[in-house]
Amino acid sequence: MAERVEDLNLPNAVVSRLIKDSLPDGVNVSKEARLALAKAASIFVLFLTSASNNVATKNNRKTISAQDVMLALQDTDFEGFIEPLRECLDNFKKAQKEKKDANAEKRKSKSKEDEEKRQSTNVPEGDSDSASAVVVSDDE
Amino acid sequence: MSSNTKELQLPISRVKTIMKSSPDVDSVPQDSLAVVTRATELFIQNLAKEALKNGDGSKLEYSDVAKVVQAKGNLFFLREIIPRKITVREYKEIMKREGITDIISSSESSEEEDEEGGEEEEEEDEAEEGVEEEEDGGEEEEEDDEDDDEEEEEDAQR
Repeated sequence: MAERVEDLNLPNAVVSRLIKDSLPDGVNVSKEARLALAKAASIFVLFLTSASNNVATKNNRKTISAQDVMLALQDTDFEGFIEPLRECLDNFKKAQKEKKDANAEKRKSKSKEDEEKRQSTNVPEGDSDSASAVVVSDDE
Repeated sequence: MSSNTKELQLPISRVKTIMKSSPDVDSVPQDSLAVVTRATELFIQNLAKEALKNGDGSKLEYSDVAKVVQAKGNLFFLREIIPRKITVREYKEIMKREGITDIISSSESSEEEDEEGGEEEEEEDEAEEGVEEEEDGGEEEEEDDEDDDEEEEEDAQR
C-alpha cells in the first residue's frame, strides 16, 4: 500500500480557498501559514481516521461508520463539529436517495422502452418485407 | 462565513487515500468519507480563524498558527508538526538561562533539540528560502529522533 508523499497532501488551491472563506476580506495569509494549515489538515484526517477506527473496533466492527466518526469527534474534543456534520450527513443521505430514486426511475423507464421496442420489432419470419410491423398475437 | 453547502470542496478521493494509508483501515463507506471530508474542511476554517485572533487581524503568519497549536488542548496531535520557531539568538539565550552554555558554539547546533520543541532559524536577516530548506531537513531529523525516543518510552512502560 505505497502512496507517494504528494498523494497524502490536500490540494493547495482548495485549502487556500477554504482559508480565505473563513477569514474576513482583505486578510493576507502567508505562504508558510497556508502550508502549515494544509499539513495540519492532512494530519487531522489521519488522526480522525485512527480515532474513528478505534470506536469501530471497540464495537467489534471492521468498517468505519459515520456514527463512529461522530463519536470519535466527541472523544477527541471536537464536539463543535458534530452539529454541522449531522446536517452534512443528512444532506448527503438525501442526495444519495435522490440519486438512487432517479436511477431507479431511469431504469424503469428504460426497461419499459426496451420492452416496447422488443414487441414492435418482433416481426414473424415470413413477413420481413412488410414495413409496418404487427404485434404478434399468440395464435394457438 | 462558509455555508454548509451540499457540495464538498476537498476532493473525496484524496481524503480516502489518506484514510486508507492508516493501518487497520479496511473499507470506508461513502457516508463516513463525506463526514470526514467535511470535518476536515471545518477543521481548516476553525484553525485559521483561531490563529487570526493571535495576530493583528490583518495578516495570518505561521507563528499565529503555531501559537494556537501549542495552546489548545485538542490540537496536541499537531504539536510536533507545527512547532514554534525561534531564532538562533533566542535559542542561545534560553540555553544560557538554563545554564547549558558549553554545548552551543556555532550554528551547527541546529541538530540539538531544545526543551520547548522550538526549531532554529538562521539569524533573521538571512534569506528565508535557504533557512526554510535547512529547517525542513532539520525538522525531519529531529522528528525521527523524537519518534525513536517515544517508541523507547512506550516499550519501557509496557
